[in-house]
Amino acid sequence: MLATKPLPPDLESRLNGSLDKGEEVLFRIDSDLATDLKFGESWLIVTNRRVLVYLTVERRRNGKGPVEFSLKAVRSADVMPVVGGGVLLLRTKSGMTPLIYYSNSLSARFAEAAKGISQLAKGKELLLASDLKPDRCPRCGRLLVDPNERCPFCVRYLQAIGRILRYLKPYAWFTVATVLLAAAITGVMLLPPKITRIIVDQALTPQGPVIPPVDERIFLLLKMVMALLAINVTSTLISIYNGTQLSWLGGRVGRDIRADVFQAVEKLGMKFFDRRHVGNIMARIMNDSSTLQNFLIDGFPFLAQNALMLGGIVILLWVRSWELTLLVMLPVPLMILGQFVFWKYVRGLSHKAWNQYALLNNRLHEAVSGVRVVKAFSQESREVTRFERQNDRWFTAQYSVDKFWGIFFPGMSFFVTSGSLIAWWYAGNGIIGGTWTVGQLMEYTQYLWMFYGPLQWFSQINNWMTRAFVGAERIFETIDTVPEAYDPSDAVAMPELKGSIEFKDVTFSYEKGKPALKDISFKVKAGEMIGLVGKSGSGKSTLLSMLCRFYAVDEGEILIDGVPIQKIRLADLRQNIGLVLQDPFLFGSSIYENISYSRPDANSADIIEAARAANAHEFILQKNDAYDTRVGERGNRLSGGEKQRISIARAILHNPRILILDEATSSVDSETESKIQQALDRLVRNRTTFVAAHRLSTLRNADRIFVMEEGKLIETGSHQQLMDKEGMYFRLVKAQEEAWRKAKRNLTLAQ
Amino acid sequence: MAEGEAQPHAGTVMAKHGKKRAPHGPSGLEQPDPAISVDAAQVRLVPNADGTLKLVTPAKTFKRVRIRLGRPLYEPDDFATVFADGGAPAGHWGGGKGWGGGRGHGHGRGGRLNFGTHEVALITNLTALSAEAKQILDDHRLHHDFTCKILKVNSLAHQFGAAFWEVETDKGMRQFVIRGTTEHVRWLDDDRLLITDVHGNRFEIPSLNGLDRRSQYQIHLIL
Repeated sequence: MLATKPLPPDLESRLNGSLDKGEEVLFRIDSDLATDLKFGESWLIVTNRRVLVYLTVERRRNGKGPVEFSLKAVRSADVMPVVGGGVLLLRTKSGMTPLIYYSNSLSARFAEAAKGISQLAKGKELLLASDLKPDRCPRCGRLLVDPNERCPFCVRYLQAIGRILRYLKPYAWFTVATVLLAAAITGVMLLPPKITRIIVDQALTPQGPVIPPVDERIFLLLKMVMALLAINVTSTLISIYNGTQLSWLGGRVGRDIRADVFQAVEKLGMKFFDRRHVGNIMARIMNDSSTLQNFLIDGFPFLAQNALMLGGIVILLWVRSWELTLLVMLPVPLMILGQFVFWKYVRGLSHKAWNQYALLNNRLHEAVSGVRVVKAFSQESREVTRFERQNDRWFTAQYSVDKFWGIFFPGMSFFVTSGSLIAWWYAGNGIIGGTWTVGQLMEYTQYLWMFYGPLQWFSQINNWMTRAFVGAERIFETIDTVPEAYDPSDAVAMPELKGSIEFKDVTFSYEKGKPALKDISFKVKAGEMIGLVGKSGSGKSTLLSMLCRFYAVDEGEILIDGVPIQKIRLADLRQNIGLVLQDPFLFGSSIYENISYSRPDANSADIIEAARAANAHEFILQKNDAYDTRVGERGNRLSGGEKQRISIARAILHNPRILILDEATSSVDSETESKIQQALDRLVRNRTTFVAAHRLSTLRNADRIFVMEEGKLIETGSHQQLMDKEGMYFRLVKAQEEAWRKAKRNLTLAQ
Repeated sequence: MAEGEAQPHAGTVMAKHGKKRAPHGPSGLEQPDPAISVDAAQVRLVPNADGTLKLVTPAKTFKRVRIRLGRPLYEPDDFATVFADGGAPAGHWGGGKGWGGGRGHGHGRGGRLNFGTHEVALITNLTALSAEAKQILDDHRLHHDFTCKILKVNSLAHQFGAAFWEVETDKGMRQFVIRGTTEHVRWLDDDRLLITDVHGNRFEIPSLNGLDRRSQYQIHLIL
């Protein structure tokens, strides 16, 4: 149902007490706003006889009992979005009443409630959406970042690590070999302090009643030095080999992660892209995956190798002297605690720095891609100032992260030094008392440094892990975001569409409670050409996006050849739809490749045919490199009309059954327009075509014209029918004729 | 301002009815669709039961309007736009011409429930509003803009690429989530923030330095 929680007991008893015989509650919904629009609670309860509101408006009005309306008096209900929330309005015979206010968190629910009340008021069957997602995690009760995604707190940390490690799975044997070699290096590295002890105690300063002869000591020294050399050579060779192998492994894993994220991003619905900046999406794919890659190449092996090393050393130190070992371990808890606290703060700060970096990236992206506008209004210095300000913010954020590290390392080495001072004092006393030898002290302190060294660097692991987990979180968030429903299990394969289209009460909103399309219904026969007319923001482009299934409908249904659009295999659907936009997007490759983008297997003859039909062939051949001319980034080396004709050639080559032209000719001069128009006339033949246009002259061949206003379809009919009707279309045509006459008169006057 | 009195407004109104003078803006540019421009000192407001206002100006009276500040964030006292409420014809303007406005096209288009798309008047110099009118306008705004002010941050956890806030606001306690700070936080100036949560609820921090130190510190850690 619509409510997010159970009805409070006292309210329930009040409600039950007020119900008449035969009256039953049909649905109820709670608002998060109370009296005076403060956060609190109020309830809207709808029975088969009345609409009641408890707690909100009632106090303001009469102080007693709920506000209530007899359902018979209600004509309809609707929601009015306001800034940060909305209000449910009840329309009665005597006018409109604001009934209950709510925050944006509940917009979707209240839109349903309004729909429900209207259904009841009009005597229809009550049909409420049953798939409203909760905004809190049902398991832990925390707010959800996105109701369509899993609660991140209920994803286990170990699972996240497991997921990262899963990327190593394809290279499992390789990884195991690398880890074993790393373990071998560790073992070898533990030997030198032992040899040092033997050199000092037996070769350099032998003690005891019998001191060996000099040449025996020299021979021992030589043997030990050779042993050290052998260890050195072995560990160097293994390190070189392992290092190169790790780079390969890390690179491969990085490649796999980037591929996964990019694949996920490409398959996400348009809503994901509407919510985010291009720069942020790019940073996700590039930066986060390289951070994760670095962790896997450097951080993870480091962690494994040093964990082994630490274990080994602790055992060796313990064997030498457990009392001293306990003493030198004293600073360890402090170091770990320090790192724990550090982790917490550096995490937020790194996020902050990352965000500032992304903002700087956005700023740069905007300034560079909008450079024409900047220069046209000579605002270069303003852009420089804006860039500098953001540059400064990033510096500050990054500095506060780096500063933390600057404080951290000297702090850690303080602990390390104090540990070795303890060893000097304790073992030094032992040497004087005759229980320790100098060689043992040297061995011990060497192990101690080896022990503290990685412990100190564990904070580096900490750093790597922090960054890697933040990156991993974002990566997995992206990968886990529900993709466009490519192929539901019951998807229908429709490689060849006929092209008949039906909209049944389609409602859609980009933002909850603010529908961009409202109850759109129409039928279009295969091969029909439909003109879409209306002011900017009237919903034309949204309607066309729905046809391409860039978004899913909130209510109602779209049928193509009688099959619900969601059930059609997406690849088949898009294969049968051609799109020509106002600002065509070309890729930074050659003209040939751009035309063939829609059908990569097309041969030169097909390409030329398409280009001819698009009136593009001739201008293409005027270029230095003809069809091999590079169009520049986003096609910026071509004029608007040229780009448009190439995009039309691309659509012609695609040979779709359904063609969508969204303001395709609105940004070009009239001569180019007539060329494009000719091309389009060829293109639309025998296809179901939707043409959205500001210039009504473009629509002269349309079979029918749809007039849209504020998301609603307000007039449909042929040009003549609509002109006879003298409605909105008539006024639009007259206004354009008037403007045209004025322009012509001004031109004559000027001449 | 005051020197304008009612005359220049009356001129633009005449133009609206198709009389002689073409309407012009302050720079002398022809205005496409002129609304009455009126100084706040000459305005009287009366609240209606349905949440709209009645606006009385020297030139005319509009029975059911909604008022929207032009620059609510930076210059709330600069100007406000008056929209005819979608429900019924506002005042006596209209007459069925133009792009819809107050009058519909027959068959039940009356329930167009937004702030309206047709501007019927522009109120300038809002500081000159009478105390009574200001009170009414503030209350009207309160019902059309639920942005609340954060007074204290009780907790702020940054995890999983999102920030989970628990705050005390001028409207009570509230928990909310924002995804990335890039998209959800807008710096209005160096000390002032507007935060929009994942649902589109809005929270303002009028002065970051005005918050207690603990709140400031928590915010500092992520912003």
